[in-house]
Amino acid sequence: MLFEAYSELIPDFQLFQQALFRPIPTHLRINTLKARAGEVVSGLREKGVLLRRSLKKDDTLYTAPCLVSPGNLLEYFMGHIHPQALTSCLATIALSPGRNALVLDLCASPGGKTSHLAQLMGNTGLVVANELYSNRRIPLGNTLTRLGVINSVVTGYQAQEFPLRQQFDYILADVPCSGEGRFRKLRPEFTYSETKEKALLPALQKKIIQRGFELLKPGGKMIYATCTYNPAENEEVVNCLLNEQEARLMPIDLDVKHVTGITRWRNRTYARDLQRAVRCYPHYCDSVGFFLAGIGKPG
Amino acid sequence: MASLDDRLSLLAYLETRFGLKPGLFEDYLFFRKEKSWWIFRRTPLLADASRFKISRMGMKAFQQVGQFIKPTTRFIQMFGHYATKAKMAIEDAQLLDLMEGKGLAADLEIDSGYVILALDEARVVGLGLYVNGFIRSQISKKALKVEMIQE
Repeated sequence: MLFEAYSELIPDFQLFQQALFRPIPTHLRINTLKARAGEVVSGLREKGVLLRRSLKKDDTLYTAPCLVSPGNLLEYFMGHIHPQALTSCLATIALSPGRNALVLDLCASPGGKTSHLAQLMGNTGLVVANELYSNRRIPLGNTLTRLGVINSVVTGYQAQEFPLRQQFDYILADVPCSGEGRFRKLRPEFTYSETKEKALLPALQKKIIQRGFELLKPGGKMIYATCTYNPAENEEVVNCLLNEQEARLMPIDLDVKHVTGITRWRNRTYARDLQRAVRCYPHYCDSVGFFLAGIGKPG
Repeated sequence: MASLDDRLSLLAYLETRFGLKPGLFEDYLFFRKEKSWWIFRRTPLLADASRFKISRMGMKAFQQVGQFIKPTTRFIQMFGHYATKAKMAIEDAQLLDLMEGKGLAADLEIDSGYVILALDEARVVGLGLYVNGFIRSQISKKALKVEMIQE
């Protein structure tokens, strides 16, 4: 059984198991920096691409159940659409930076969330898109350019050592993770395995969330996000921050079915406030498994 | 940042060639990097960003090609719908021909030079080059694949 270790953690575990054997449906974000949502939807409908709105309150996010290769659409070339997992978009929506804000995306490549931030800000203010690896800054730059992002600069620091020269209104810490939430068992040969590198991730994640908090202005907001189910990379990392800093967890209002963060895992107990964090599971939202925590710095 | 002369020269080109009014770019800055110019949304926060080592800024807007200034496809996709001159509406089939390397015959009352190619008011695709009564695509075949048009 896949992810059996989480059988007591993930509700409706049988449904979760079934979801792992289904492909992740194509999900699109309409890029309002270059196009109007209604026009793109009707244009795609004319091509036979049927879209189903993903969120009641947002007219830019759609599931395209029958669309296999969104990157082969003219709308993709024109930067009117961006294929992006629904839960990935939720991280940006949970942050919701205002216009003219100063925003830091600590681990920015390949740029889906960065460009979504710019979209929510209407290309105003400034987004610092940080990506350590130069080979990953290429797709990041391509995404930002294709989608018409004109309010961003790209930097190349280690996220956990991002210079403390400036504090930010909003920070997205979509940290490197084991990626369990992306795993789907679509072919017999697909297996999920633990590796030594994955075991080292929580230590790195704790450093990144600490640095992110230090970089936050008083009154600012940070979203800590992963695409994994592993509590050691999620609640435990946030709990560590809560123990060491005057951070507070902020409620996250999401328009999709989700469950709250956990407060116990194996022999560990986490702060009660972790119930304000959000766990998204594939059997509830038919997307990538995700964890989100909203972190505020008292003003 | 691009010099004032550079900025005025870019804006004069956009107005003369495409009818794009200089006021449209009041909220934008241009930065020069060797033979290209990059566009960035004007913000007082730029001073904050200058505290970091920046590897890339905004979007590439123009490239110097010989003695000419060539707007990038992405720049034209962003601002081309405001153009009042040197803009041509094309059909999907004509775009396909252009991307297959064929010249598109056109009788335009403009000088030779770049032409904005648009499928309709909302869908600006990129640039063509108008010379001797024919338009040839300036859009990268790697970025705009023929399959995209046939979809």
